[in-house]
Amino acid sequence: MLFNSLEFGIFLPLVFGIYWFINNGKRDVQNLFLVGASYYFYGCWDWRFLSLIILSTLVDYVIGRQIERSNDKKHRKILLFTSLFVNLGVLFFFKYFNFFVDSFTQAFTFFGQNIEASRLDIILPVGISFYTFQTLSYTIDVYRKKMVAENNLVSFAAYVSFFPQLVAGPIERATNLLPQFSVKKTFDYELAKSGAQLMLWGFFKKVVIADNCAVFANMIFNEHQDYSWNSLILGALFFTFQIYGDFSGYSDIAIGTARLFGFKLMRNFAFPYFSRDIAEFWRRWHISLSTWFRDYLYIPLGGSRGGTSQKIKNTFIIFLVSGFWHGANWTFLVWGALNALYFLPLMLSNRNRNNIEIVGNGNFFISIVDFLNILVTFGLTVIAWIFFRSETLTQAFEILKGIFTLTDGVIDFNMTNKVWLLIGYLTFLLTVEWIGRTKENPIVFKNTIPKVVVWCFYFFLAILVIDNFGNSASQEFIYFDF
Amino acid sequence: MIKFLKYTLVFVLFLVAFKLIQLALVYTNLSSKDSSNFYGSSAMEKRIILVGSSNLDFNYDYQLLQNTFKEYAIVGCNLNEPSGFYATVHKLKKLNPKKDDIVIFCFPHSLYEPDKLIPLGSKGKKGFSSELLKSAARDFPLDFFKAVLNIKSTDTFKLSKEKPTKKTSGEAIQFNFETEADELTEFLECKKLDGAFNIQSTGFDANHLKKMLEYIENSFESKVWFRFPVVKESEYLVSEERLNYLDTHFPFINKFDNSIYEDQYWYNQWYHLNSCGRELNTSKLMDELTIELK
Repeated sequence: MLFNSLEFGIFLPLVFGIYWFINNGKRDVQNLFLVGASYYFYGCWDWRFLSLIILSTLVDYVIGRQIERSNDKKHRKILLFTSLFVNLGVLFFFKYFNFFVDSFTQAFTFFGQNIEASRLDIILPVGISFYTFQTLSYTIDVYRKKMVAENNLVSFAAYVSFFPQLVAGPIERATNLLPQFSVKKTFDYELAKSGAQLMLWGFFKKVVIADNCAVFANMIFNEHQDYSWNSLILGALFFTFQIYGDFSGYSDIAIGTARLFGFKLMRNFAFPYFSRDIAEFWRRWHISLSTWFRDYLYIPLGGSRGGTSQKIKNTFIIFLVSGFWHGANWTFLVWGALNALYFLPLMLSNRNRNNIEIVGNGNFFISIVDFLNILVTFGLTVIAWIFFRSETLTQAFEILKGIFTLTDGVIDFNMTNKVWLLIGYLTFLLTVEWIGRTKENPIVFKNTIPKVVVWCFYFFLAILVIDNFGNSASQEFIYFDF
Repeated sequence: MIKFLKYTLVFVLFLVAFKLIQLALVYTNLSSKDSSNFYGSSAMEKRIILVGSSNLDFNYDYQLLQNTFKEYAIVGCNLNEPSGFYATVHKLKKLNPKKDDIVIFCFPHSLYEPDKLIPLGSKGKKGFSSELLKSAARDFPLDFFKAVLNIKSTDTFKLSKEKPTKKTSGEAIQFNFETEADELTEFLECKKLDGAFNIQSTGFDANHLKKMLEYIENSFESKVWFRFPVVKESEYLVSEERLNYLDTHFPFINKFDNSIYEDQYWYNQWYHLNSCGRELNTSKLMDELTIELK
C-alpha cells in the first residue's frame, strides 16, 4: 500500500479510529492491533513475504532473550552470529544472489571462460533492507548490553513491523522505538498536530515535487543519447530533487503517521541540499542509515582512529557498503565510492566536522563563501546521483560524457508550461525550507503569525497535493526497491 | 483528541467544498459540440469506423477510402484530443457498431495515457454531457474520482469561462466527407506551419492499457483493430516499454516504424499531417486494410 494512494486514505483513518477509540488505551491490545494493521499494510503488496517478517521477528525475539540469559561470552557470540546469519542470509538471497551470479559469469567471460550459472527467478521483497537492519540493531544492542531483551512478543512484533516505517524507514534503533511499545499510549494533541503538519509537508514533497520531477527525469534518463548537454544537466537536476522529495517526503509521512499513534521516530533528513561539504551532507541525508552504519560498522572497524591507511580503508568500506545496501548494481557501488572520494580529503585534513551548525545560523542571507560551498557540494551530489539513477555504468558515463563534451542532441527538451510550473514548485520548496531550516518541519510557524494565515498556507499546500495526486506520473517510492 | 478531530474534520471539509466548487464549475462547462458530427458516410450496412481525435481531420481522406472500399461505409468518429479516451469512445457508441463493422482506433499517443481517460480538468474538451459524466463514474469509478481530484486549481478559472457554444444533445447524427482540414488553403498546398511537432509521451502503465483494451473489447461486438498514429521523424519520444506492450497486447494493423513521417508531410502540430501527408497515410491504411480484409 502506498502512502500516496486512495487505499491509504481509507486505511489510515480506520486504523487511527480503532486504535484510539476501540482499544481504549490498553497497551497489549493496541500493540496487537498495530501488528495486525501492519501485516495487512505489508500484505497488500505480497502476503507471501509476510513470512519473512515473521521469521525475522521470531528469530530475533528468541535469540535476544537467549543472549540476555547467557553469561558465556562464546555462546552469546554464537547466538549473535546466528541472528546475523539468518537476517543477512535472507537479505543476501533475495537481494544479492543474482547480482553475484551475473558478476561471476561476466568475470569468467572476460577471461575467456564461458560458464553456465543459473539465476533465481525471485522478486525483491519490499523494504527487506530496512526491517533487516532494524532487527539487527536490536540483537546487536542486546549483545552489547545496551538494552535488555524484550519479553513481550507482541511488543517486539510491533517494533519490527510498525507500518509507518516498515518499508522505507527511518531505520529505527531498538533503544529508541522498542521501549515506546511498552508504554501505555494516551493521545497527545501536540504530538498528533506536529505529525499531521509533517505529513502535509511530506505529501507535498512526494506528490508535487518528486512525482512531477520524475516525469522529466525519466524522460531524459531513458533516452539520454538523444538529448543535448543542457537537457542532460536538467535531467540530473530533476532527479536530484526527485530523490530528495521522494525519500524525505516518505520519511516525513512515516514520522508524521507514527506521531498520530503516539510514537516518536528519529529524524531522517535535515535539509541536506543546504550542506556546505559532503561530510555535512551525510549528516543530513538518510540520517537513520548513516548513523546505523556509523554505530554498527564504522566504529567497530576502528572508525577514524588509527593511521591514514586505516582511515581510508574504513571510509571506503562504509561508503561501498552503503552503496551496496541501496542495490545490487555496480552503479550503486560507484555512487558509494564517489562519495568516499568526496569525503576523504575532508577527513584526512580533519575538516569533516567543520560545518556542524546550521548554515548562516538560520539567517536568510549567508556569506558568499558558505553560498559557494553549498553550490559546490550540491554540484558534486548531482554528479553522484547520475550514477545512482542510471541503469548501468555505461549509461552513467555516457550522460557525464554528454554533459562535459557539450554534446548536441537530436531532441530539444521542451520547456513547456508544465516544466516552468515545476520550476516554480522547486523554488517554493527551496524557499520554504531555507527560511525554516532551523526547525524540524519548515511549515511549523511561530505563534506571532496569525492563525488564519497559517491555515490558508496549509490549505494551499493541501490543494497542491490534491491537484497533483493521481497524475500518471504517480509512482512508488524509489526507496521501496532498496 | 476531540480538538484534533475537530480541526482535521474542518480542514477536510474545506478541501471537499473546494473540490465540489471546482466540479461545479466544470459541470457548467459541458460542451457537447462535435458529438454528433461524423466524417464519411453511412450508406452501406457494413462500416469501417476510424476513431481518433483531430488527427482524423488531417490524416485521412474519407472520399478516397470510400472509393477504394466500396463494400463498406467509411466513417470517421472523432473528438478533439483534450476530450480524452472516454468521451471519444462514448461518441463511438452513438454509431452502435455491429458485428460486421470494423472499428479501427487511431488514437494519438497521448490517449494511451491514464491522464487522458476522463480528463475532467482538460481545457477545450468537447463532447461532454451530464450523461457522459454519469456513465464515466459508473464504468470507471476510481478513475472518475481521481479525475475530480485532478482538476487543477490553476485551470479552474479558465475552465469556468469555457462555456458551451451550443447544446446539441439529441441532435441528429450527421456525416460529411469533407473535414475541417479541407477548408485550410495551406493544408491543401502541403505547407508546413510553425507549431509543436515533438512528442514526449513516455508514460507507461500496463494496468491502464489493459483496462482500456478490456473496456473496448467488452463495449463493442464489432471487430476491433488499432493503428499507430503518425509521428514526426526525429521528434518523437515514446516509451519503448509502452510500444512493445501495445504491439504485443493490442491488435495493431500497422507497425510503429511505418508510422514515422518526414518533415515535408507535416502541417501544424505533432499529430496533424498536411494534404501530402494525408495522401500517404491514407494509402498506407488502404494497403493495411487490403491485407487484413483478405
